Amino acid sequence: MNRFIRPLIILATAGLLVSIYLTFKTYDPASVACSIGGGCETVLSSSYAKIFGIPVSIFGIVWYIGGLILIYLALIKGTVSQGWIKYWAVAGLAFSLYLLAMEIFYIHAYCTWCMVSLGIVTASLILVFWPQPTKTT
Amino acid sequence: MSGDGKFFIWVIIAAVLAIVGFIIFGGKSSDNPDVVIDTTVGQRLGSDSAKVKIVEFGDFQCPACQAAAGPLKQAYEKNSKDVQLIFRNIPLSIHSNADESSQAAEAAGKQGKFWEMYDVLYAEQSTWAQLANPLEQFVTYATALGMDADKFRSDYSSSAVAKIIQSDKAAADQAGVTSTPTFFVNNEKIVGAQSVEQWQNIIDRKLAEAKSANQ
Repeated sequence: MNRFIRPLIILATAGLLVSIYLTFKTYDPASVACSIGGGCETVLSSSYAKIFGIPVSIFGIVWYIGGLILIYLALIKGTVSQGWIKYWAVAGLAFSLYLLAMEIFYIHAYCTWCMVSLGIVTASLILVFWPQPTKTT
Repeated sequence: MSGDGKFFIWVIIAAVLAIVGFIIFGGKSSDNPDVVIDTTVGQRLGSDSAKVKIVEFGDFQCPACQAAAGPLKQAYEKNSKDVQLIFRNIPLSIHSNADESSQAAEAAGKQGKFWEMYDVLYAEQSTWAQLANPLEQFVTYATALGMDADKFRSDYSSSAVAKIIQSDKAAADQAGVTSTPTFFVNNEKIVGAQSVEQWQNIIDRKLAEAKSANQ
């Protein structure tokens, strides 16, 4: 996994920025609107945009920050098992697919930035599970 | 520190700078150039001589419009001497029954019950939004509001009502409306639902502007 450390850092940081942006959009009064052709406004103003009153993008922020901490501790410092990164990636994809299902079956609109986040999560998962070359001496 | 460790720190620093930059420079919404909206067209509530005219471009199936309707009506009722509400239809194609709900509202308007139907459509949005054919549900509302059901049905599918909706959509397009609800308060564009307090501030500001313009 080590050769993917830097791509993983960039992906997790980019995802964090997207989640922060979406959180701002959730609280922006102008986003409480339905957009022509759907879009983020429709998704973010829907009742599915919050879980227990917390915007789903907050969960995204927590997930990406957790990922950055794990990358640092497991891949750079080596003080935590690398297996945690795999749990992190699988949990992220599961949650993202749940959100995608909400968009498809209930909200009937798609938010581009949510799709970007899904792409980041998927790419992170691929990198985490990509077979590592065996070390030769 | 390893190369990866340094890389990690630099990426985090860049991200923090990006966030700070976004908060400082990106938080402000872009300019909303004012446009002149014809306030003589559309369904009107309140006096034509009101100093503050709030034009709503709305879609009855839009959840955000539903959220906006209550505070707007409350603010209107508190300021009914000074405010006139005007509704224009912009049924969005992403909502399956948006066109039909606009037809129902305009058909109610033909019997002088537009604003009563406006309230019912928003209040009952979840009931009719997913129906394959919402007409019978709309007829139930019309009957409950004391309308002639046969006239309502005939107006619902009339070319006159279709023309009103087409004309409203064209006006929305011309005004650069890209989402609902979009309001024009004395031609100032406001996008999205507002609270009663926000409406009160906007109305007070517009009344002050009207007063200073008259002096």
